Amino acid sequence: MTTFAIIFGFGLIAWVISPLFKKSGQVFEVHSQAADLEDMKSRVYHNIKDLEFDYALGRLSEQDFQTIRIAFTQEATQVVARLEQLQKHDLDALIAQDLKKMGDGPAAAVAAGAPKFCMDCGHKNPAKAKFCSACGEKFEEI
Amino acid sequence: MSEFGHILLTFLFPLTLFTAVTAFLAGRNHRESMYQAARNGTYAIWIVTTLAILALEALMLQGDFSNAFVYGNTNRALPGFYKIVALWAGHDGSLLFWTWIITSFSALVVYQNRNKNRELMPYVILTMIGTTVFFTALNLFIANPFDTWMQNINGVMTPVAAADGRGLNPLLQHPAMIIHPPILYIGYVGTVVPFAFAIAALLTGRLGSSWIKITRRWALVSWGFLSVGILLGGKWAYVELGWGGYWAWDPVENASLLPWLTSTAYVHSVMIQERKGMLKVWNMSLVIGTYLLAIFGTFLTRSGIVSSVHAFAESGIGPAFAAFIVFAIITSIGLIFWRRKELSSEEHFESLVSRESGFMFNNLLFVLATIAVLWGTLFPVISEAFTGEQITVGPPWFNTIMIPIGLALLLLTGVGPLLAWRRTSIESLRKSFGYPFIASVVVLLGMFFFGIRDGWALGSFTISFFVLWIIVAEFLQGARIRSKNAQENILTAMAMLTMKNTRRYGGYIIHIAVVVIFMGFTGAAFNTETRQEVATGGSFNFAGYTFMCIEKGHSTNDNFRTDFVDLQLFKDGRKVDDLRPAKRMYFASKQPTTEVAIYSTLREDIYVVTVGESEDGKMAILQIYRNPLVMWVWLGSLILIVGTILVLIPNYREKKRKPAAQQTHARHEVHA
Amino acid sequence: MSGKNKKIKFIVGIGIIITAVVALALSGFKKDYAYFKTVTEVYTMGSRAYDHPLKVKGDLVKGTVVKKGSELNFQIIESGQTMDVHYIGTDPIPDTFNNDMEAEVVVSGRLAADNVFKAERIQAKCASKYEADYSGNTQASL
Repeated sequence: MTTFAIIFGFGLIAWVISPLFKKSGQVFEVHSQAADLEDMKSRVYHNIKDLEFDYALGRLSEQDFQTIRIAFTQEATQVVARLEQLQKHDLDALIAQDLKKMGDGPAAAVAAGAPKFCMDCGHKNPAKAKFCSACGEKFEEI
Repeated sequence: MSEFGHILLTFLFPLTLFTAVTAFLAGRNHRESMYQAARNGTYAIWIVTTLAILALEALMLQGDFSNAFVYGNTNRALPGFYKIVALWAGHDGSLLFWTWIITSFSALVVYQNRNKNRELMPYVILTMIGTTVFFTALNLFIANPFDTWMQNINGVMTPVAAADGRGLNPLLQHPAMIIHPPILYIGYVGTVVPFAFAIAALLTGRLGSSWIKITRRWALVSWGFLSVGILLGGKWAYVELGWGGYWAWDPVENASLLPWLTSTAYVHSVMIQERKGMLKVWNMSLVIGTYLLAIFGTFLTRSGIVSSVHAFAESGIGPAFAAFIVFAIITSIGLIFWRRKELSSEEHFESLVSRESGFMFNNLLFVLATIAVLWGTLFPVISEAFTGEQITVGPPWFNTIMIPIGLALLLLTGVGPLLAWRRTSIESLRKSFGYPFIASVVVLLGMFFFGIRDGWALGSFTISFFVLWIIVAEFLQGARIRSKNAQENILTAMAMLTMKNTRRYGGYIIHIAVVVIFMGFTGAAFNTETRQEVATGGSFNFAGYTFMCIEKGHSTNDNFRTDFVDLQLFKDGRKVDDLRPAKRMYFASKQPTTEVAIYSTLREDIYVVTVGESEDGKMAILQIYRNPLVMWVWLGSLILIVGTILVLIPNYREKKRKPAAQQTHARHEVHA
Repeated sequence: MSGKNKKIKFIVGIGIIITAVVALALSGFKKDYAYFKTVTEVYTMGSRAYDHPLKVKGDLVKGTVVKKGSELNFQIIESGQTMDVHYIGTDPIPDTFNNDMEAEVVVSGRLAADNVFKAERIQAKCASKYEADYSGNTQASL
């Protein structure tokens, strides 16, 4: 019994700490803005559904229903637009990453001191800038 | 086997510490390797805890009375089934059981989220395993079920290998009592999951409604088990303890009610955050409060802190638990304060008569009720701190506060769902409440003329009627519209309506259950009782029934001796039941119990106990209660279970296209 | 509705509810409170002991239980001081209550001028268990 327990115990310890020795070192990237917007989108949709339900049950006058529905739909349009914009921004970052993987081109020779152009607003920033001085967008660490 | 158990617990404690620390680091540096280690740790913790439980059960079944826990809670004559469930009959075993449940839930949560919510999970693990660290420490250092049974022999504590144990408390040898603790524990421990995700949300700053959506089912399951656990406890008290009631505002009862109150407020309040991004601080506070009250409740039940404040301090459990709760409160308040900007409301209240305001008042009433129950339960401790004397309050005090609050909440149950978001027009109010209000006034006058004069009973029945009308109207209205559009008969329409909107209609069914239970409670306003002496062959009348005593006698078996009275119950000349109230004396534990005899109908319960006998032993002295409407409480409980299951089921989605009558934009997908 | 006006309405609404609950708590307290004392503490209360409802804790003195039909008299003891108790309640007496058991007793009621405690409720806990009863106490109560 005791020998079995000791072997089992050591086996368990080994299994638990084994991931620490794998050299994945992968730093998990955090995508936060999209999640917030998805939240808001889902919320507006549920509100629209609720509204349709209330109206179907005769709890709302036609006029109230139309007015509030228009307001919700406008909100939904705004949120979806911002989401699409964000997804486009991610695409830009992806393209930049691919370009980098392609290796050094002629521009690499002068890249060290080259200014950075913001993806969002196009403003010219110094080479070492972490944030765009015009619109505040963070420069991706690629 | 006891040494093996000891080794397991000794191994378990550092493992939980390691996992908690690893989870914390994984949250800080986002490293995949750390996160993986924390997850493995969680699974390993569950494996070890399960082995510990199995070891303890082995000891119980083998009857190893050198173990203190086995000695104190089982004996040779105990049936095998009761030996197994005696695990949660005693202090140490039940705490280990608690630990096993939380480690199981932790492993389950980790498994459920193995491919999602990557950002929150490290801190979720940290919180759940952090709690586990505390309980494991208790299991190892203060309430160890693998301790040896020792007796004081000539001044020295000596291990004793006893030949037989002290047996299981006969009060616990009852089916309801067997399932009551596990059900309540699942409810209690279930509160840790939403709490863990809330803390993770605070730590990561992800304070949208994602943490709420992820834990929606966990919160509902926990609430469901708490509700059933509390009702089951009441049923057990009614059937076993023999004083004719099911709730006495006892500290132990209140301990289970407190987290239920905040949990109920929480499952409603989160709907506001999901729809309008409001009440974020409320929701954080409610979910944290529910967790803290669940922990508090566990210890109130187990350590007898209020019935004897001195025992609380001496047992060792008390100070440890107090420290843990204080630590948790300070950390939680600190986190909320740190994130107060992200927790500000995205929209604002526009009108007192809106659904948002309704929910806010709902929260307020539940929180006031919680504070009141907490205050009343802890009043002896509070008053001693301020005046040096302990002052207690009893059921009359609790009822004075809780009945009005309960009725206000009941009213809100009917009114709330019909209020519109933002602002409800007078027109809409008239349409929704006009008929039910008039009908309720008619019912009220009817009851008054029928002879009912008790103010609170009149109020309760009237409001119950009002709410029932509204809920049934909700079902009928929706079904009528659907049956027209979808060409279904009204019953099919109602079923389909419910299955396609389980959240809403399951919730309505739960509300119906609450109304039924409330009406059951109100019956207590009309309780009557009597004391009668009767001998073999005698009879008497009470409450419109005739009681005939067939035999007053006694019998014996291996386990206990019974003194019984065989009665036959007659109504309108017809026999309706046989009743056998009795007193038992259990030989092993030398403990007496009361066997209650109950004749239950929808209208009333006839509840009979023996309270003694005449000096010559010929007459039995009986106490008989007439308790109207008690069955409604248990019926309502069943309806509540059905409603809760419904709410948990996902909406039924039809595979075919929806009829053109319903407007649906092709692009828009509704997330469940 | 103006912003300030709206805010006042909410504060008033909330205030009314809170005030109502507090008022209920205070009125309930006057109807039902009791000092929780051990036997010795009751005697140190002096004449105050007769003025207030009390809950008194002590151990049942073996052999003092006298049941005559539905009448019940017994003695409780704590730190050497004894108190005579006369049960005037209507509920069944707890099972733990007889001359064979060692029980810890809490009686609720009032101390009469003749120093006999008139108990309306009795709670008894079996003292032979080495830990608190799982079920708490068996109760006779209103």
